Amino acid sequence: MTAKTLLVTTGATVTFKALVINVLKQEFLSGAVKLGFKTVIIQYGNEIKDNVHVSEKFVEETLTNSDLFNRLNLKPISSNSDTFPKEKQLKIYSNSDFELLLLPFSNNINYYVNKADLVISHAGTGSIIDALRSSKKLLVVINDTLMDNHQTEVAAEFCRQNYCGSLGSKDITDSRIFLDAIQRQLVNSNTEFVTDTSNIIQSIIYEELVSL
Amino acid sequence: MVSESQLAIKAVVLLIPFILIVLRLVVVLPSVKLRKSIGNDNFIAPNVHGSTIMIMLGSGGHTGEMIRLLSKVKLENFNRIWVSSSGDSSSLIKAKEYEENLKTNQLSSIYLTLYRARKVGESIPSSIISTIKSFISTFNSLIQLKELPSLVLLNGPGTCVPLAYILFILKFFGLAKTKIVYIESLARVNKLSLSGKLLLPISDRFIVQWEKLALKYERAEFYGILV
Repeated sequence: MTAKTLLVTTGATVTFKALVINVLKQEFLSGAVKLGFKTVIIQYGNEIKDNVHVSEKFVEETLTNSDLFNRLNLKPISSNSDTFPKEKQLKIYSNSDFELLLLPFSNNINYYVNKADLVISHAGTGSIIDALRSSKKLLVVINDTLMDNHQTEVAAEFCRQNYCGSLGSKDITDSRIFLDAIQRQLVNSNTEFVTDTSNIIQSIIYEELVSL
Repeated sequence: MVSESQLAIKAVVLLIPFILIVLRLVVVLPSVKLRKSIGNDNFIAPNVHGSTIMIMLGSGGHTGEMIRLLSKVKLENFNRIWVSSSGDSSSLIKAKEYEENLKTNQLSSIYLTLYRARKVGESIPSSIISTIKSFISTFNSLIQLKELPSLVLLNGPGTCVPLAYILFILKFFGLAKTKIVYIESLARVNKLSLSGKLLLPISDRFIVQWEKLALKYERAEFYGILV
């Protein structure tokens, strides 16, 4: 089994607590290692309120409560690795089985998307498109707690057309269900996302300006 | 006693302004024209280079989508006016990043901040007040520009509604020629956003990213996912 990379991306605006809490779990991470993931990257959010980094605080609390690092014997390592850029906020931990990378947000998220074999994403259109445009296997986790969330329509439509799989944020509380969905997605041959629409906006701009 | 013919003349005189308004609307209102679509020939028209394009940004995914939409547009051939709503500094940062990545940057770029119209979930009375404020501030910002843009690209944040309607009213009175191009967010699969519904009649081009919407709305153009 080749070493695989898993990317979890939660968007930048609101902390997707259900997703963060359920990937920072011993059962989940051990299961992911069994599925062949040697690198797990978690982009957990950049929510800042009244000068408090809400996302970061939530991750710290989650890690303290679950005692994850002790249980998995994870040790911080300096970001000397050649494979990842030196981002200030990137933290790397490792044990004998795998590396865990935590970062709040990256302006260069496509770098991480390209490294990944599978992307677990919130239902944001930007994150979904990033993964699909890079031809990545994609599992979308839909936040059930957001009201009137039209973004879920996009996720549902992409899944209906077999570009990705999806789970609700309640489903992922059970690590077995979560890991099963990942495994299914790994073996699933998704529809390749190709649309060449690169010059449409350019054409429309020129047409309208010419007709002035 | 007023004769019938005098009454008829009065009626005609009173009707003239209304008829003129209707005729003017027929001329300027895009929605009375047929749906457009991109022509076959991929022509290059350098004579339009140097025109001014206004780009509206907005938090909640609008800026992200707009930057993606622009990724294949050669914006360096145009003057650029970046517009964001008050209290949205992250959109401005993204616009400035985009500007830095432009290869040749001989033409001008400026940044405008408009008073934000309706916030998500705002109550109706307070959103009426904020919309009026937004109309006034938008109008003030537009008349301070050296020249109005030749084209404006919009993709849905609430503040784009007053902006587009002011431009449309100016067009009605022959004071502007700005083409309004609206691109509905990818997040809209089954129905248009409120901004989309309001801008459908006055947009020169109205582009959607899901086929269902093009089937539902006569004037909506569909070419696939553009972001």
